[in-house]
Amino acid sequence: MKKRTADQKGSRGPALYRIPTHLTAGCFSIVLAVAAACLIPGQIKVSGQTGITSRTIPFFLSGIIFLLGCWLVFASLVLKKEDYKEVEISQETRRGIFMGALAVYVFVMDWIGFLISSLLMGAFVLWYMEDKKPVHYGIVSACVVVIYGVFRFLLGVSFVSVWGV
Amino acid sequence: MAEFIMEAIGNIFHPLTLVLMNLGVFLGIIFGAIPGLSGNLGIILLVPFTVNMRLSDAIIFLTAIFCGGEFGGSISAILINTPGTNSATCTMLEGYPLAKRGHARKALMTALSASFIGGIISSLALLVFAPAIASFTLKFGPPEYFAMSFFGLSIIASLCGNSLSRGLIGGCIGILLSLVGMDSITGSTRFTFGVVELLRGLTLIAILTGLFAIPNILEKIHVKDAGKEGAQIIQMDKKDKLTLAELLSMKWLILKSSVLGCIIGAVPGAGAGIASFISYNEAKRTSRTPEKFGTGMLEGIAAPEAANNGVTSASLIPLLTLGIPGSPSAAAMIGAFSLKGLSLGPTLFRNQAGIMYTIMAGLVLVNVFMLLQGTFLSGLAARITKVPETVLAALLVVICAAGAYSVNGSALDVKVFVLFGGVAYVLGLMKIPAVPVVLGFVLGDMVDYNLRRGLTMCGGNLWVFITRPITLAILVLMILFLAYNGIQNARGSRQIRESGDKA
Repeated sequence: MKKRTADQKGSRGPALYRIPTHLTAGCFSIVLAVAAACLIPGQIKVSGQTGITSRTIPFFLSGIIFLLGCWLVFASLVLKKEDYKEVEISQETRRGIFMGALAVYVFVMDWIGFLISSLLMGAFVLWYMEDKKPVHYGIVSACVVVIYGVFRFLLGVSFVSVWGV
Repeated sequence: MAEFIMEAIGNIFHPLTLVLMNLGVFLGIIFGAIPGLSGNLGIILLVPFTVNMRLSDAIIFLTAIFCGGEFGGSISAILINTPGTNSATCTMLEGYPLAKRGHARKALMTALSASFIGGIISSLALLVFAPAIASFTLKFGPPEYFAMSFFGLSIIASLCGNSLSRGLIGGCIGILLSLVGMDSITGSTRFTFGVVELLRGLTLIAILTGLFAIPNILEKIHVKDAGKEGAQIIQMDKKDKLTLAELLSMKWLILKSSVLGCIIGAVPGAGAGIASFISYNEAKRTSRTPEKFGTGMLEGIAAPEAANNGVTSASLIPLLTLGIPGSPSAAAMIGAFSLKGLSLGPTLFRNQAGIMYTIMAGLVLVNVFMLLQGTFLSGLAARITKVPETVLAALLVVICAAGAYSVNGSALDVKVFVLFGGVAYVLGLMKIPAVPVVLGFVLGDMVDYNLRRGLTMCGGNLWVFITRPITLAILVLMILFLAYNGIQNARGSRQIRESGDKA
């Protein structure tokens, strides 16, 4: 990842990073292909099968992903063909934290139930986006209860529940 | 056929069906009108709500969202200078200048009338062509289905712009994901990691919401003035009407754009955005006053709107007849079919002909309701665009989680939804598009199953895919399609390079 500061751009602003997408996607694909190829023997049992088996297509796909990854790395390092994506590190950190919060939300759901975890998540999203209007918190909470009610009572979905909610 | 049409007419006038049509159009207009949302996202989010509906009602409801969404995009484009959907960008170029001159209502009525005509022509095209294609594809065996699904995968070439390799990586990832679960031929498990719930495979709706809704939410997180209300809306004057003479003066343009939209819509992967851009350019090219385009020309509103609604029903042709989705919204409709335990393809027309005709006839009526709702509710929809981004983001998270959970009543699907949100984020950083992942996921199982069935049928002889006339024709078509895309991409890259040199 190449760092490009605001000063280099000649203007004041947040630090930008330029991700070489060919190189990154290439390396990612190679790692993914190798990981998939290593997993296949353990994850797909083919006892008694001959010729085209359950493993054939997954192995074939791993091979294609590997070759495409190698091509992208070759294009980036040897042919010097690169395509950069500029990201603002502060914004990406915010997005990363938000993804972390989503992960916590789905795991906490098993403990405190869908309704309570969703009410908390709704409030968290508003707080995280620096919304300070109490009426918005009220609207979101009411809508979460309505969404829960529609799914629970109209569509008959049995959510994870604690204390009956 | 006549008996099915009569049955369809009886079905579509069922009170519940009429309510669902109207609800779908209304929700579509709202989703389309709110910048950042779209009819496509609306369909993905609302598929779980169709679980208790009859199949025909579910598909009509979802397609009504699509139709409403295409028109809804023009409301924000005309009234607040922000296209609600990417296919409304051309509408904005002409609609907003016209609205600023005090003709907001006329601009909206032009968009609505053109959308209505485009939608009706598209529905009729579906009604005429889908059964004919379906009856032809009844001759297909596993080799033909393999060739067809392989052709479907070649759509990736048209979806990934100038980086075919990254699109293909996305497609391969999608196919790998489709293989998770129990192998339908041998019964052996694949990539289940001992989790019993994974035996049925990954859930399409959980993947779709993760791949498309979470990036949308993350975009909203980025908005700096998120807590503030939306842009200023241009008010409409009730006396500012679109006259019949004005509409009739554009009749051939609307007709041409609608047909163009139908043709583009029937090609998997093309979509409403491309149709509206091509139609807008065509309207400008054939106009007597092309220099006035960009200043508020009615023709510049009518052409893209007729085209993007021309896409709506026609895009169901490859989906209903071949089971090939050309867009994420079409993939979501596959989710609706699988909720009912049905798989798409020509046999559906043979076994469920009544339902198929109900869907197709229902879409004609959907466009009538769109015209009525658009006439009376556009102002309300415009006001809804003022919903703060913060509230939208919070509600999107909860609706997505509830939707993912509801498909199988499983908390694992909510985890899959969040996991795929993370996947979409990481892929986005590397500019690997998400749409090929979905296409690969939807078609992957079909490719795997039919390739292995075809080879088993012919004793492992790969030549079977070239020597059978239909498979050969499909593969030749695929090569032509890929060559056409290659030429288009090369042209696009050259134009970008040339404009860069000039700059």
